[in-house]
Amino acid sequence: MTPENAAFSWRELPLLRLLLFFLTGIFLAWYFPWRHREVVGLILVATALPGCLGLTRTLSWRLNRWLGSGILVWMLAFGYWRTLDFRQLDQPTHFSRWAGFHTDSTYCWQGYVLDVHPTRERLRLDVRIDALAAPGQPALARTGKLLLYLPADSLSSSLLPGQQLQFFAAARHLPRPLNPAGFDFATWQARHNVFHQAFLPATDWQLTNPHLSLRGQAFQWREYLLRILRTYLPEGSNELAVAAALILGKKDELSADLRNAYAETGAVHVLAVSGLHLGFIAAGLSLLFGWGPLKKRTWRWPRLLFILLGIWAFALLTGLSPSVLRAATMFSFLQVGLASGRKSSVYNSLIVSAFLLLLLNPYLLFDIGFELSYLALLGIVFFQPRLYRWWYISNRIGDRCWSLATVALAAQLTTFPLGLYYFHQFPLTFLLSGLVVVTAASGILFLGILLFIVSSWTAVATGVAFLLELILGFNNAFIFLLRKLPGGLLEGIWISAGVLALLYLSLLLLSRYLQQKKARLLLGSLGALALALVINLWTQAQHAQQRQWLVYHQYKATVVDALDGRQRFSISSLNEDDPSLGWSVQPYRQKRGVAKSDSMVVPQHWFAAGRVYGFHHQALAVVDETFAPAAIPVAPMPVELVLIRNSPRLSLNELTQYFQAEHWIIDGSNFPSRAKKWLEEAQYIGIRAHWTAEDGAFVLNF
Amino acid sequence: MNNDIRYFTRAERRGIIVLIGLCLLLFLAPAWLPDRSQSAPTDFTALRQQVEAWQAAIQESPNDLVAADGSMPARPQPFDPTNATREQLAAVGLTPTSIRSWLSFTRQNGRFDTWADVEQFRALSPAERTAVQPYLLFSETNQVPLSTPNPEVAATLQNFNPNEVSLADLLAMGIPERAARSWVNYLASGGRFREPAAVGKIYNLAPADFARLQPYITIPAAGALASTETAALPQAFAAIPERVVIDINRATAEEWQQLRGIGPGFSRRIIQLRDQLGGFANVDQVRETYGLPDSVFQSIYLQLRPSPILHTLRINQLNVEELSAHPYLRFNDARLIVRYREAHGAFHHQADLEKLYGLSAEVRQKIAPYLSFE
Repeated sequence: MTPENAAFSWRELPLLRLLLFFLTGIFLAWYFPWRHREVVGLILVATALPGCLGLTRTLSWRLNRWLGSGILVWMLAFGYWRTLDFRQLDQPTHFSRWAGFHTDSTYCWQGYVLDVHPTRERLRLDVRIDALAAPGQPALARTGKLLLYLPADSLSSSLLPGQQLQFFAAARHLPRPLNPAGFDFATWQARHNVFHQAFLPATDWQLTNPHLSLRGQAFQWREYLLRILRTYLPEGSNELAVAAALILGKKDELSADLRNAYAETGAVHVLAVSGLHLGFIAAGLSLLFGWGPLKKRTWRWPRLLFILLGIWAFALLTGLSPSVLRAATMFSFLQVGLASGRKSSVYNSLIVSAFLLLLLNPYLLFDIGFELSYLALLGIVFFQPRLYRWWYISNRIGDRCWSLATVALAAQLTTFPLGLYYFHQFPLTFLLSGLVVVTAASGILFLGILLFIVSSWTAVATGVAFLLELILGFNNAFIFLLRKLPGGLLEGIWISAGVLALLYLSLLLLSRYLQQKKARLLLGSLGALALALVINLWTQAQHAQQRQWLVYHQYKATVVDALDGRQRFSISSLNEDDPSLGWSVQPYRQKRGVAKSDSMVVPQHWFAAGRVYGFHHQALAVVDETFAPAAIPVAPMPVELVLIRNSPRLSLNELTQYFQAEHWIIDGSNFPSRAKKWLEEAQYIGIRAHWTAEDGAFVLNF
Repeated sequence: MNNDIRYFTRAERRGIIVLIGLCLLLFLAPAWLPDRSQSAPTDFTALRQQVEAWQAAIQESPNDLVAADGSMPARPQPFDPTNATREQLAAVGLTPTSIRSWLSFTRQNGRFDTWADVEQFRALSPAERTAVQPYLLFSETNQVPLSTPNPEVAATLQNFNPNEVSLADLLAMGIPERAARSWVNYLASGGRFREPAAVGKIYNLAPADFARLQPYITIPAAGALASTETAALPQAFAAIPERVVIDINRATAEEWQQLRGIGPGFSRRIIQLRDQLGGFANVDQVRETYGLPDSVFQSIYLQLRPSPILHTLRINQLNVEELSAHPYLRFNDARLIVRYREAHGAFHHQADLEKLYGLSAEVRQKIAPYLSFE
């Protein structure tokens, strides 16, 4: 029996049980938070003391198991408490808990910069607040984080992490998504403990202390290296953009088109500095320090030290972003585990690193990068050897190719459910792109580092840069070519959380089966898969029976959908392929299975007559600025919905003479001032008005 | 042997086959789900009748303002303001809201007996008032008045050429100083009036003053209209303007300003855009002028005539700065073109540009009319 096929033993992976219960505690705290976390804290402290007494004595079998259960439950409660404690909004020193704080009131703030995200017109800063003051009042020391938007000018573009700012601003809550299935920026930022944002004009801030933090220093070093890249690679080209992202983790130069090309071919993981890059660094360093006399066992630990130094130096030079820090921690533990030589140590090091990271930041559990890197690595460590052994290739190059291919397959196997859940797409070309891009990435990384080292010898550097540009150009050309292949990307796939859980259960049972060879496990795995497909079928059945009116919120435009089973009828002031619909309207359409509307099908339940649209037994009337009736009808036209758009110069009172409706909808194409007047009128008259800018998109199922 | 991973008992085999079959079935099943959109069609005759009856009741004709085939809107004609119809008001160029207000006023037995009534009608903006004035027909006794003239001044009014007056002349005619200065400045900067109604567009010139002067405005070229016949005809007929048509690539700033809605600012911007592009290849490119409202473009679009462009883009000879000066080429695109050209030689036809990765199809299409491969 090979070690991999041994029966699963909790004892070989000591921290696994504790980690699992800790994870459950984090989950519970996110979905079922309880305000009184101090109570939980007290219970934890109270139960820890007697528990410690029991740890050193010899106990009977029964008492041992009781103690064990107690430890596990304590771990759960600890995870629960840690997550509640981590939420800054609940801390008494958070600025929003101050009695004098109101959103939209201007205060004078002081804080220091944590991170800088430049975009084309504006700069976004993540700021940690030290103090704030109401005008004319003394300053109060308060904590909390804030998003700051500044116009991008020469002063603000030179801001670096660690520098202290003072500014005048009014903080507002982050906006909730107005359209269904729109990107939830507020929740995403809440996971970074950011709940407020503020917009500054160019004049309302000043730099009080330019002293940089370690991350600020790292940013500066990175800028220096970036300048070297810029000298040798053509300015503004795709090659420079990819080199900057791959080697230095600077993603600003990447255009949306380039990023999409990599995402659609399944190669986007190389554009973010992650475990892959650190793996290359570690492999390179161990090669460097592993030849000749350094191969002896005595050099094992110094070699490990060099590798760790190399990994952390690379993390420093790529800007110390949170994802790189996470990857570096994970990789350091991995290297320690590998160096100790035991087989199960790989899993142990993964578990230990995960535990440490989650202790420091429990919200990492919901971070896509964290989830993907750990799952990918687990997949590679578990599945890759088994896949590799299925096919023996005697040719050396073929063998290398197969080994790389199995790595890509193994990683994709464990991460595709998350990819479907978060990104709703599956690149079928991942195998091909994985092979080429990963090999190219290693070349790019090494050549890049070589370029940095020899940058002062122009002749040699130009030669290295030429090679680098060649590989980068080939890489990009390959990606663009692959993207043009038809059918290479399956998109518009939406799965629910239940399906996700079942898919992972199925994978888990499959892996247990491969370990223990019990056919029951294989049946269980297939059963879980079948259950996931049943849920999917049920969702599809619901979509096929849907009947819904939907008025989206779109700034200065109108989009209305009528969903009839698998058919969609739209009234829209924008074209179908307008890019601004991609974030706000298309996700929901994909989710409901009506992304493409077939114009060849004869509409059975849709009728359009000028201003009035009929859908089943309901009608929608559209009133815009061209509505200029010359006479008042005897009886108002009875419809279900009236949509007011483009700010017509009519009052609701006048409109009720022409229409009699259940719902009056004011959408995003109207002036806010007029919309507010209509809402007041509606309250006065007693009719139901809905403004999409405030109440979100209007959805009516019938 | 029994522990070999590939060994399954019969029961296990059966279970596996059943489950795999079930999975396949469930995967393909969604295609056969009953689709609600294919259920019995709804009968919309009742709704249709209701909508038609209602539309007849409100008497709104949806397409009266812009003809569906894009043909020219009707020429403005003189009309009686109290009994104006929608078409007459639309032809003069009033907004739908103003038309609605006017019609509801007259419908409720409001009257426009004199020019003062029109002046006091608050639904019209000053620009609309000026636009509508030349076409209003009042009864003989209620002519557009020679409102409150200065007694000393009234006697000195005589026929004059608006293109050749001086500041003193204008002040002597009783025009307030601000309006007189605007008039003179306009003439000094090269502006010329081609017909009497154009004088009404001078900034700060009150409609009342314009009305007072109008009978005496004599422009030599259009002299035939302004002479003895005006005594018999109502005043309004003297001032019907011609529709101007201009060449988009050859027109000067003044010619652009003759179009309704284009003033000195927009004409400057249009000409600037034209110079940067090297000429408009297509009338629709005028729409891209910064800040030009689409409504203005729609109203002048029929008066624009296309013509050949002025300068081409010599893609094989210009360097990166010169290429990126063209509005349609970004710095990245220009750089890409030059580097490719240096590496692979000159471009010879449009198809050569397709070899450039990163040059989007949109940009290629936009610069296509301007390219010259010499």
